Amino acid sequence: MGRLLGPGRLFVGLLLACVAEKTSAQNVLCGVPALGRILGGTDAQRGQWPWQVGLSIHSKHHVCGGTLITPEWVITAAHCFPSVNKIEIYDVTLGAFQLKNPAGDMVVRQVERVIKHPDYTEDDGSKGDIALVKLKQPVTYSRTIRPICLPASSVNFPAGMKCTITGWGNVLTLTSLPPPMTLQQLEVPIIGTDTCRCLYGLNPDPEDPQIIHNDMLCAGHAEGKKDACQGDSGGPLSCRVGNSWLLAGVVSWGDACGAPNRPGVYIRTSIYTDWIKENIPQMEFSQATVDMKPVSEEGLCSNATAGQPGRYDEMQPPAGWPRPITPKPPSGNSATSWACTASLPLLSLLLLSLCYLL
Amino acid sequence: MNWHYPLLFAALTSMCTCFQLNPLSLEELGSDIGIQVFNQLVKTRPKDNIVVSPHGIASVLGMLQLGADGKTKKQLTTVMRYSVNGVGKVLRKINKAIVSKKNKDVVTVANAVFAKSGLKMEVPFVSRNNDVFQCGVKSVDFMDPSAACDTVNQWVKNETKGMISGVLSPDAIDSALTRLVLVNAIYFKGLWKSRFQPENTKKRTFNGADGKAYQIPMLAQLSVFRCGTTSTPNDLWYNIIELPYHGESISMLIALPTESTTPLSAIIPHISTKTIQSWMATMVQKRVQVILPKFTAETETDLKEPLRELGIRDMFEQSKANFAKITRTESLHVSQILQKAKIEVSEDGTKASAATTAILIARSSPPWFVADRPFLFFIRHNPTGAVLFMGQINKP
Repeated sequence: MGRLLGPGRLFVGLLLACVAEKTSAQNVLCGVPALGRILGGTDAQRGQWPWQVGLSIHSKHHVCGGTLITPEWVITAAHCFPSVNKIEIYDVTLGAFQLKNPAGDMVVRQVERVIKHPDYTEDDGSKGDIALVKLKQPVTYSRTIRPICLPASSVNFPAGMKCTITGWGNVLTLTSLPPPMTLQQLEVPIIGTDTCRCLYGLNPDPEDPQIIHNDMLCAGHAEGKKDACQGDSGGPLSCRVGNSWLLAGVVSWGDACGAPNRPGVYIRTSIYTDWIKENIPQMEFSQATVDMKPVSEEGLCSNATAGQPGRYDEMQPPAGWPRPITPKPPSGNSATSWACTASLPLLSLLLLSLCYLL
Repeated sequence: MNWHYPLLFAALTSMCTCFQLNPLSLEELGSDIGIQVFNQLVKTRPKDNIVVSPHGIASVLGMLQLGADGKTKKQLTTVMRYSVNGVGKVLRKINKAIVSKKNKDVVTVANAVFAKSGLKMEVPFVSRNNDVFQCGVKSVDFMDPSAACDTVNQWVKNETKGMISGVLSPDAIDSALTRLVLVNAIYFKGLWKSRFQPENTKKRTFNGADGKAYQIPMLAQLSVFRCGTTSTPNDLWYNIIELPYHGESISMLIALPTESTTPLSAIIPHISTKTIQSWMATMVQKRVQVILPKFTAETETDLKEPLRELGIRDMFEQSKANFAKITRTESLHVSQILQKAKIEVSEDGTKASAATTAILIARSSPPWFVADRPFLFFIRHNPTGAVLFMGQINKP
């Protein structure tokens, strides 16, 4: 988004921002970075995914990701908080970019409360693997700390839509992200639920059939290789609709990482708007319409592509990667939401940072 | 890696309540002397890879107890803390259990007493050795050292199915003085209960005790294992993990100092079968990411010096040894007491890695157990508590 930061716009932005700050509905500013685990991903840029948070225990061991949705609430996966763990041992890191190289704009908060969805059973692969984490003190938004927008229940993310996962999880099965642990990003297409069920039905382990429940959303590649992995749980599957990013899913599970025919499975946030609203009454949701038609997935799941999950170690990102992650100019395939109209939030954001400077 | 935090991921009820600190079993007592021998050995070779079989050491000493008398016997029973005569039946049962077919033949043990030819052996010595220790008593003509050596080595090779060879060298035999040579050879290659996927084995850095970094193949697995953290009385912390073998009667235990600055030599003196028993009570089931080198360790140990250090002296002295229960025709003493222990650690196992099972699909990051620096390992026969192997790996 750096392209919007032309000097000529600064002044206008300043004015708008001050207005925006006064009216200040927190989530008016959601889903917009202040600038423009991942297996097979690339380094993100500082501030590019300002809603990404990290969960660690004893300030040492990185456990999960999470997503900031208000100044004091983070959304993550319920399994990141097994009931044997006391919440006192957790830390939430916001505004982090390189976990092993903490910068001044990083903020660490303790956890006041964790609300796990009642459907979550502590069995992996369980329904309702989603949790709301209340921070002990709210955070102040900054260039590197911003919330994402939550989609309203009507929002549907069609098959083939390109979204992005981010996290500090393993870069290969059983290989942790090397220091300085730079946040990784990876573009993954949404996979339709029927196709996903079909893929997981290829060569299933009869002892452990893996079920894609209705609150789950698949994203990734049938051929494998690029995926979320251990340590990415709870982190965002961010989809850009119009000018803002919506939290389409929360990283939950997957069979191995990057195995063929085993795309990553995410918890679909739009299913849980009522539950979120119950717990965070002031929460607002984006009524965005994704204008894109689902892409045909014919041939994506066929026995021809079936095979035992094969080697995925030693794989290299394909040539041409990284893709530019900065949002493309709005194209015909999506309409904007009421909440995040045009570039107002963007500019105001800019201004906010300026205000702080002054 | 640091394990000071409580377990991260919920797992099944731990088995710890079943392992309260029971009085030591006979076999645990037996293994203790082997652990003490290991302690002696590593003092002079703190940066080498060393593997011994505490159970094997107890066996050869037990074999000698059957033939010893007088002060020679007293030294043996004092250090070992039990008399084989009283517990022959139990020992026999244990020895049979360890090499049982149920373990899929992963343990191969060869015990033998080689005595100077021409001696008239006492029948009870021969039969009880065979009965309790599955140990053969052979006559060898030590006057021809190279032929004697071939005989011994060939026998060991046969008994261990070719896995162990070259135990004895001709120059270890003094044709005039050699009377009694004891050999314990033990080979182990276990099949993991949960196998390591070969595609997850890759070269990683192992930081050797010599300060060098080695790139070696390491096995990796995400699974549920029993593990924990404990400390020596002087507060040196180390992590422990149990990796069960097929059939679950045998496990590998790994002890890894929490701080890379803690040398193994600071921990080894605190380890006994009692310590190991306390680990079994401490460890809890956890989802964990394990990384350890793929390795083969083989050590031949001359037990004479370490045993002397521990107070078993007379049996090595021509003038003092009393083996009246082996033969009355001639006075005997132990010329050589040798152990060769070999262990192979690979990916092989009976069950596909649990990485495909439902409990492991979640994408939160479990703690790591990374044996990428010097570590201790133990192969334990859980039903008896016998320590089949104990070793230190300092470099690949």
